[in-house]
Amino acid sequence: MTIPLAAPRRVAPWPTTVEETRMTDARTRFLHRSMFPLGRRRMLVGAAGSAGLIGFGGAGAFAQGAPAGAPAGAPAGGQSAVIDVNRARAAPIPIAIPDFVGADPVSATLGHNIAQVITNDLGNCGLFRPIAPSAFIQPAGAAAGSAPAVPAFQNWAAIGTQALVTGQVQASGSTISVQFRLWDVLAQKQLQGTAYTTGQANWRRIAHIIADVIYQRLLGEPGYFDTRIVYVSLTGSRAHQVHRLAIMDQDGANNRFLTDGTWMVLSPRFAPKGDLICFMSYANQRPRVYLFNLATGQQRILGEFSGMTFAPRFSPDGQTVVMAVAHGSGSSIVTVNLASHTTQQITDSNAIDVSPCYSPDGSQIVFNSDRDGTPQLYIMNADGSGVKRISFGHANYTSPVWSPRGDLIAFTRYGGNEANFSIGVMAPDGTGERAIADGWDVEGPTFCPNGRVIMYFSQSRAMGSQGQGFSSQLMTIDITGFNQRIEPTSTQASDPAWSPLGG
Amino acid sequence: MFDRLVPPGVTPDLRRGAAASAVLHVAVLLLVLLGLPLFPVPAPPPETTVSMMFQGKVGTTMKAPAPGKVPAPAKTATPVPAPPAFQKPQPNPNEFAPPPPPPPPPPPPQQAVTPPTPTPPVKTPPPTPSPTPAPALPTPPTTTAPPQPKPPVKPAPPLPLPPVPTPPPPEPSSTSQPNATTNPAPNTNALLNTLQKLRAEVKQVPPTARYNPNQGGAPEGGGSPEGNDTAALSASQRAAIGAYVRRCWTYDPGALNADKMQVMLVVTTDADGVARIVEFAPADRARMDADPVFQAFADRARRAVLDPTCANLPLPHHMLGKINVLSFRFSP
Repeated sequence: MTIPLAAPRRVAPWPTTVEETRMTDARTRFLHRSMFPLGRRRMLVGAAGSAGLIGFGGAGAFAQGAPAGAPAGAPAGGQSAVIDVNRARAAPIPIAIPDFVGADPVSATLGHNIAQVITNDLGNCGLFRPIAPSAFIQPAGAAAGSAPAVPAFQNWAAIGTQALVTGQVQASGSTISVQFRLWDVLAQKQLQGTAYTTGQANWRRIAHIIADVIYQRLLGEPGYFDTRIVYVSLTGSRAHQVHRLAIMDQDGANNRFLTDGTWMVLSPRFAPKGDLICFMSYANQRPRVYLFNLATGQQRILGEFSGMTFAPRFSPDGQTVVMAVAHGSGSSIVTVNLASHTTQQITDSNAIDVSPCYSPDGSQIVFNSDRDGTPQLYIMNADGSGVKRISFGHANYTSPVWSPRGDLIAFTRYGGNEANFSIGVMAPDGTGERAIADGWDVEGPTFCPNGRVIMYFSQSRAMGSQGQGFSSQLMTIDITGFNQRIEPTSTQASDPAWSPLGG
Repeated sequence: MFDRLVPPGVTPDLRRGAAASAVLHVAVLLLVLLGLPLFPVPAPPPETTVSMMFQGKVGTTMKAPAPGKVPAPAKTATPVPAPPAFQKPQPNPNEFAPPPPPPPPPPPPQQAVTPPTPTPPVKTPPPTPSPTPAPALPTPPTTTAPPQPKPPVKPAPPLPLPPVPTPPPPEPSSTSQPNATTNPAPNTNALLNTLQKLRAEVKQVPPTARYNPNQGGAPEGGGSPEGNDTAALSASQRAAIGAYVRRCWTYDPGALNADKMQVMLVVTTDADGVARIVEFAPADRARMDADPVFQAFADRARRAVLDPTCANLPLPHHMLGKINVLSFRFSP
């Protein structure tokens, strides 16, 4: 069964609210047009048409895709009369986040900063629409007032907000106490109220945690703002690029480097529990998989194999690492128990079996293999039995990753009749394949902890001998194909991996 | 006068004999009626030993004997002399059975006896004269017997009537009728009597109105099963309201199983047709507690109908000016 990508391809639009994004998009398009004056333009026209459709009516496009329900207002099946309201729009929730109140200047500053972080978190995820403070009728400081004060809901409903966040900050010494309340403006009731106390240095994390609480209460799924990203920082010229392992908050703050760039590093992955990272390093000119302890900074080789080891990933329980081991002209998939250091080879073919990834329950593994001629995606049981191919498109499928909520598998697709790389998703049984992003070189998808957002890296083609025009950056996109954004990094970046919540 | 009644041919001797006979008969009759107690009571029959076995609690056997019937001695807690062979159950005093004709003039009651019943004491009718003269039996003095907590009270010989706990005399009540009245209502409440009288006096007239299908209405409708006003809307009116609220109906298409969700809302509008109160269907409330994603979905539906942009529902004119309850079904 061959399941091609959706035609016309639904390509997520570039965000129009970020100036930098538009510039990058224009540069990429210009470079692509220069390299492929005719054929590529035609392809881009088709893609742009799709993007335009989504860009001008993104929500409407999804509304059209929604299953056609019963005729509006018609009783279903002759049953009791009800008023049917269907064909909902996909729209963000308008939310007002005034500055948190502080009694003293330090507290007030912290309250302002915390509100800004919450606003950025919720606004960047694309599922909320923060109301601009200039539209507030009620002064920000009076929103919270004293702790038990109830906001004047009519003032907030009048500006079109549906949710309101109020809070207070009390800084004393090196600690801060933050109280926040989430209000349903239209129902005129409090949805959530929580207080946190921590050191002042952790105020950003408190803000992320509050954003997660708001996200979960209003959307039903856990948030992903209190997370970190480990990635490969790229510096220097294209010819002499330095690869360093780096880690930062999901919003780009608190960036720091883990390696000094002496050796090239690739494909870092977070452990599901604890401050542990596995990655591939070319240390001593021998590519092998290493473990990195974030708490101590210590590194150690994972397993002793004669061949190259690469593409590691942790099991959901964090007790095992599954990775690929090169042998001869192919590679196999092996597991290494972190406690007993025992290894188990779970594929044994003459093909190249790479990029294994566990399912969320740990019972299955999706991997990439060329055993049928071209790289395709396969699923097998955790012990290597029951191998089943799930991708059948006329292209190459690589770097699969299983969504934490188990409903999707993301992958990189290239070749075939397509000039671009694309990031796509499909159900674990291979159905419902669709592309959600494309570019000259887009690779390495990784899911956020709730499975809602995919981060990947996008690279542009180098134009000259010195690699002019090359760029590599991290991107995020919702699994619905909307809200594509650039992840801010201090340097060019690739190979992102999302930490678990609170990791 | 007497002579006129004597038929001819009757001699004075015969008349004297007849008179003597009549006097003798009257004397015997009077003697039977009045003179029996004067005779010595015959000796009771020899007592016979009766073995009894008690089962259960004593308290459960304290049930008062049936009114008017002499309880069997076997029901007493202690062995009692066997009842005499001639003792038969006396007529139920509550039944007030008329004495067999011809009723002789009842002698004045010698003493008030308390029947063995927990009901208030009622005067025991005089002993019914048996067809054959029989010696009268004195009754034990039970007029002032206090209520006994336990039945095994040995009766006074020679009558082996089992003692029965006598209930205390009724307390004088303000609602009871202490004196004789033409409309006695013993042990009843005066207020209840009044009410019963009033009820009886109220003229019970069967309803005469009936529905007239020729005057329109919905004789077979009976209202909406949900008890709301949605059924009063036509399909086009429901469609108009749904389209009106749809402008504010948003959802998260990326949520897990979002396309399979739907939620039922019960919306109460004010007299102007503005949605004021939104409640979830009971089944949906249970699911909301268990499924946070569905809770978020349902909350967005509620916000859609409460949104000031869409809360002023386009109700038809005949539904304005009153509170309406409408059923909504929100689906993606």
